[in-house]
Amino acid sequence: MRWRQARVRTEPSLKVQTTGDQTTPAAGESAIDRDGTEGWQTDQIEDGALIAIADQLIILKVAADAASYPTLTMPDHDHVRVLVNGVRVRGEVILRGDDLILVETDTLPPQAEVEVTVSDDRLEVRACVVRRHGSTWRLADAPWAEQIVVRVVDVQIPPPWVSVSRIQAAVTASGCCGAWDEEALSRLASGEDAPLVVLRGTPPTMGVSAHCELLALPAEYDPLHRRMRMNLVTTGTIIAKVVPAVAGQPGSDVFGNPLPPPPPSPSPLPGQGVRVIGDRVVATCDGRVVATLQEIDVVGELAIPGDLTVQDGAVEFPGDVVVLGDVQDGVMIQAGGTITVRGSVYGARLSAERGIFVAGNAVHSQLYAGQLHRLCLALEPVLGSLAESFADFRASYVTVVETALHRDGGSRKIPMIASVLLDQRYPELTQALRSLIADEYQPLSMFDSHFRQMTDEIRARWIDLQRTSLTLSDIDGLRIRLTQCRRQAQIYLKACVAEVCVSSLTSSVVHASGNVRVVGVGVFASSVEAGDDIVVEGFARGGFMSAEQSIRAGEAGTPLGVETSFRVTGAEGTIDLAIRHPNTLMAIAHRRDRNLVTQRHVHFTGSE
Amino acid sequence: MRVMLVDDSPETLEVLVAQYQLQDEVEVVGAFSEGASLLLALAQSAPVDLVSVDIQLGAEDGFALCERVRSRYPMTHVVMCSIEADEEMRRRALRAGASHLLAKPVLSRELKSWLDVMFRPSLAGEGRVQSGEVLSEHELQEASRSPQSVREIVAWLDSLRPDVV
Repeated sequence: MRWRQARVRTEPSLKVQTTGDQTTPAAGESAIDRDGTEGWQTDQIEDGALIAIADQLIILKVAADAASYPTLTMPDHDHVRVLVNGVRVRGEVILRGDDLILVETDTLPPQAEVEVTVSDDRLEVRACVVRRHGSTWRLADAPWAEQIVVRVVDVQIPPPWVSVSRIQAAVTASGCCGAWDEEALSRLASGEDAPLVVLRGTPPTMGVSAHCELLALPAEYDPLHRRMRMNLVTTGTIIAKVVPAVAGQPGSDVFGNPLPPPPPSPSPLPGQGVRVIGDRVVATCDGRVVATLQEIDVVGELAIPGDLTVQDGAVEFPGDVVVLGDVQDGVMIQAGGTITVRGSVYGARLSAERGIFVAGNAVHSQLYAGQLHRLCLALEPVLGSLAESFADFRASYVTVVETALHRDGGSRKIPMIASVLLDQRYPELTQALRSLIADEYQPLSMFDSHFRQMTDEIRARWIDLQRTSLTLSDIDGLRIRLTQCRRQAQIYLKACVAEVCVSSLTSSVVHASGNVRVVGVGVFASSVEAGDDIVVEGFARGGFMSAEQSIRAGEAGTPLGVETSFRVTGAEGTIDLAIRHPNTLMAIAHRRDRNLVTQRHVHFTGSE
Repeated sequence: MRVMLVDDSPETLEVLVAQYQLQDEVEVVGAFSEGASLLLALAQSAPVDLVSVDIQLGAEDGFALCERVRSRYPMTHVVMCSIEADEEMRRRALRAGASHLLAKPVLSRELKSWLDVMFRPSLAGEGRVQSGEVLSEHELQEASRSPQSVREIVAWLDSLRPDVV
């Protein structure tokens, strides 16, 4: 803050002595002469007059026999101070002819600073010119008068311009280097106050992993899914070509540090029902080509031309199952691919890994889509924990065996050591192994050879009496199987989630690892659980609906208050109901709400 | 495991029956819309392992029904099931003798997790939870938060062994 002072001493001849800076009056101020002698008729001035001019206060003609004294009214201002005989005055002050008046005014200089920020990925430098106007406070000029009320004027000082070289210097001073953006620099220098990217590093380029590229194959329209679908292919058909990997290029950040290329995005690899011959992917069975982000498979298709009844027996098929008619009471279908029913499902149990699509209704039925995904969600942490316990068990086994070998007759006990350790020290390991062969994981055994081999080995060698002759190779063998299964479970978890699409649901249970879509009349007295979203185009009356991300329904509950519950487990989820009848519960995370009157266009979130 | 259920909403009762029937080793031996029918069925049938009671049972009080069931059949577990499932309700349910409070909508994995903890001896460990025992409120809260993995439930039970009532 700069100080400017004007010291004034009164003279009968109006000659004024000043000290300190003299500043030019701002535009609009009085054009009163600086020495106060020109342009004024001093004879007309009354006794005890006072003038404010050029930040000075001047007293004139206060004779000893003056009839009155001039008065000054000074406001309490932070930036302008008036001192009379060295004492700061505020409010109304009576002045005498020999008073020494000193006026002090502040000046806040303008500023222009360059702020530099580096992006989180350290590939961009943004610069922003922060300009601030300055201010100077002046006394407003006032003509001769017996009484003067001082008025303070705030005069703005515009900020200075910042040159391109100054912006570059600020960026360089922060240790950054790279390619300058000349346009952004000139925009900042010309007064733009928004942050602009002025310097860039060199981003690394992503490589491409080896992958399969699907060839153009004949397709047909699928009316149920309303999309084109590739025709069936026969064994030996070339369905894709193998594209070799391309390495990515490293870059450098704005501090000059090298940046490694990011890992290539996952690309489809040859999956089930195909074989790579040279640079071609060839179908090894008759079936449909199914391409996902992870795999290109050829999935066999089982088509049932009419209704499927309990007399046809349970259907277990590793590929897709298509039923052109209805699925009747008591039928069970387990498919490794999708299940498509052109008719309706009555009292049946359908389980498919890639999705279930029912053109008609599902009544008193159970539909499970993506069960492996759900099972692996539970299994993967079990296997991870089991691997740790198993490593500890193996170490204990080796220690005890070494101890036994140094004792008389100890070698005879070696076959019993693993069993005793499991009983006495690792009972939870035995229980965990038992849990892996429980019924709930049987679908995994059906479709995954690694899991099947592991559970077969547990049954054959690790349960009850069979485990009395376990050796180190048995322990290592199971350990490898556990690792393989865990890896496979992780692959299943990365695979696409499966959805269920049905016209309507009545008294049914539906579980899907992905979405559940009910596109017809609606859902009645059913339990619906979805890994992603639930969309009910029509009514949702009675029962439970739970989704991980969101639920949308047309009309929830009934005017008579049929108990209907919706729950979204993800805290960021939403529930949208076009009509919400009384006694409808909505729950997201820990927030729950039940209504007593009908509401329309309800949007419910996890926060208040 | 023999299970009876009572809920005044026929749609909810139907869904709950379906969810219990889908659980391993569970047999639903009765589903009722009022407490009197449940008590009559309990008196006339073989012992029941678990009774699911809706808290807001029309004009009836689910807590009172829970207390009656627990006093007459101390070896039968009661799980309360309610749309209103705040902490106060949970406390009242435990005071009434319930083993747990399930919040509607009931997820199948939550039901399975709780049944595993309470009734599956192979998972719960030998003699860990006997019929008629009641887990403390803290244990029930821990159980309701515990993940689905069998291994972790076993580990959880081990850690809580000294506190089992």
